[in-house]
Amino acid sequence: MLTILRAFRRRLRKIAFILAHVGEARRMAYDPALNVTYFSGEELKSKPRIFLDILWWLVRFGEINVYYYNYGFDRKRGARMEEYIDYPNFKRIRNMYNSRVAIGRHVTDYECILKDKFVFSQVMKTLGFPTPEVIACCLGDRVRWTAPRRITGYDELGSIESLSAFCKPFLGECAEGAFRLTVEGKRLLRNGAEISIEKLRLILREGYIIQKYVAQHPRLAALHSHSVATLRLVTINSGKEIVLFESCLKMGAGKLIVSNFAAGGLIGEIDRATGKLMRDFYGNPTHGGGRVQRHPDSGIMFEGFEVPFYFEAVAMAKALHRRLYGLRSIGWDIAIGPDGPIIIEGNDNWELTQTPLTGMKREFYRLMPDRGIRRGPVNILNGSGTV
Amino acid sequence: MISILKKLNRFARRWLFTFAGVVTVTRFVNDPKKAYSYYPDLPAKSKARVWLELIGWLFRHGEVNTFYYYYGFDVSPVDQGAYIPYNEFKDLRNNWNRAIYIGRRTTSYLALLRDKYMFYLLLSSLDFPTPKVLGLCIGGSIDWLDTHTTEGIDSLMRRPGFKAFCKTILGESAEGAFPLRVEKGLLLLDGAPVTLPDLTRRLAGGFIIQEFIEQHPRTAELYPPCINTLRINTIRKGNDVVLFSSCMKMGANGSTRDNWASGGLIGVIDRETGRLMKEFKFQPGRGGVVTRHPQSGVVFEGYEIPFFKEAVRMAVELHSFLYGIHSIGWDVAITKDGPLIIEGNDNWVIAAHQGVEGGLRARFLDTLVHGGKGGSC
Repeated sequence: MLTILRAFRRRLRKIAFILAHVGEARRMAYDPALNVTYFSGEELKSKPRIFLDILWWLVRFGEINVYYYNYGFDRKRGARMEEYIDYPNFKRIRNMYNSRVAIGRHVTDYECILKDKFVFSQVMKTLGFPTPEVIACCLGDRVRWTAPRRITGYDELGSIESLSAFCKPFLGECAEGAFRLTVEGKRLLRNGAEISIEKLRLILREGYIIQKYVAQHPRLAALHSHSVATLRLVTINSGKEIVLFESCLKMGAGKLIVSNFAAGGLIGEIDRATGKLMRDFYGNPTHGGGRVQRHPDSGIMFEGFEVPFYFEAVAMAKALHRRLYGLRSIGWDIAIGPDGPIIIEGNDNWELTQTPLTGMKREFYRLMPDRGIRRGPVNILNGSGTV
Repeated sequence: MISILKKLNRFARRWLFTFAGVVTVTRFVNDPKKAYSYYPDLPAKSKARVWLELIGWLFRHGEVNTFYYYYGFDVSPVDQGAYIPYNEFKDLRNNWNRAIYIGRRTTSYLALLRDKYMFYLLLSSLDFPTPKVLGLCIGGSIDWLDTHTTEGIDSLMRRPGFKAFCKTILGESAEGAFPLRVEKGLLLLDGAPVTLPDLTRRLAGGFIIQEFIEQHPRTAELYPPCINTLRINTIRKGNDVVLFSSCMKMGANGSTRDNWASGGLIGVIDRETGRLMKEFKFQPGRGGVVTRHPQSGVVFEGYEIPFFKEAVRMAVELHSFLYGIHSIGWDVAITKDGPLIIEGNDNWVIAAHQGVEGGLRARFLDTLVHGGKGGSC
């Protein structure tokens, strides 16, 4: 009885959602501020056709496809919509495999290993993978230093003579709240501007890690020197092996100090056979979008640009994923230092980067078959899940 | 509509459970294996009085109090309100441990305690003493941490003299754990020879291979066949981590585990002096109260536990680094060099402690304080 009512309620909600978003679909097709193509030189669909496309996507998947133009669906010839996975199903399947896993008869949730930046860095340290050192984590009125291990107040920060670090919230995503912290002769600088220890304390007490700043490879620094360009590699544990699912490069632009696509950075694919960049890089639609073939600041052409230590980075991500057996899929952020790859973080809630070159639906469902809704935890030993 | 049906469902279930509970209580009171006094020398309440008190507990708290005799409710005029019922404690413990907010985000940190491999990785990185994990056995192969190689189970045979303890990755209360040795080309599981295919089958459940530890002679003296550990419970109270209770667990009656649930003994360590208190108790159904160890004959009262203060300090400090978990029950072994953290448990049981320390309701509820802005939880 309850199950039938719940199913009925789900249907009703979906219909209500569709009806409530028809106007938005219309705006996406007709509003000049939203109807921004990434392919101005190509033959494009008419506005009514675009509206119907977006409406059809809304009815089928219950979402407004904000990446419609980014994927290049507005072109008459090019990307095929049926090769692209919709976000609601992608999110459900990704979370289902990552959120609850069983080993034997016990169930747990391993997401905190990736979500909490302090925990992640400490796990990396013991496993021996290169990662920026976390020197302290701050929460409440305590600063917990890692080496040598001790717990102090914030005054100790004022006694440091020199430091080049990055402060990030423990559980932050997409670089939210992150800032550069430098100490020069006991002067504390936040993103270059002086800050008092008391003001810094008020920020850090919300739960921050202090992580040593990473120097990046000069070839990548040449692209955009204000931010550290990172590889976004997605690896999926197929059950038999760790498979490289996505391979992109993210970089900042303008005055951005982070490389995140969501924060306004650029993203483009790396040819996994050669380790070289592809021709086009894309901006996030929510930050104005756009498709570029050379970096807007440095002017460097992307096509054929060789990413140093690319193959080492892929091998490292695969090796590390094997050790993190509790997570089916991980989106890695990997910086390239002068001496090789450096793991910045792993994300359980990675986003798809389906560019106009690649619809990833088939590959995604091959690696993570849809187990339907309301299924039990994924068992990583007996074949209902991974390894 | 759905919420009304849900409420009806809950209400019906609760009353169904309560009526079924009356039958369980009646059976419990009449079962000589469970309904026995821990204090046979003291005047006991009548069976009818015991039954009525258990029914009262069932209606008030929605549970059959199987710890009735263990708590000593059957003999003395104990204030039963000072004891926290298991269901209420479990709900509070789990709700406070399950997820915390840091800023506006939340996550569950329980895997750090539940997964023994992740626990080891975290503690090693912070230089807390913990038994070394030599290998991780998952999916039919072993990841050796010393050589950073992945090899088959047969790689054990290439390590003559190998001696380790195998534990399930997510196991609780030492379930499935066994000692493993390689001697004269033979694999010995719990001292008995085992074939490679049998061992492979046994390890299929996901195991860590952990080094053997040697306990301090003083704790070994209590009961030599197993590692006797301290159970130290720490709780985050506001922004501080405090000691909640400290007990000693030890094996008994031939058991190679010290767990209370596996037939071991539990008793209080005086937090001021680090010495054992007079009485130790078995789990209901497994025995009563003892003042000296049934096998070693060691008298408990005043027995000094080495490195006790250091163990408490270490547990409190380590809990500060595990800011995402409200309360933790630590198993700490004592070696010649000092305390060694064996594991942390988010799902620790308060009943064992209430039985030896008295009612802990007020002390536990007192810790349920939010850290405020900038604090955790």
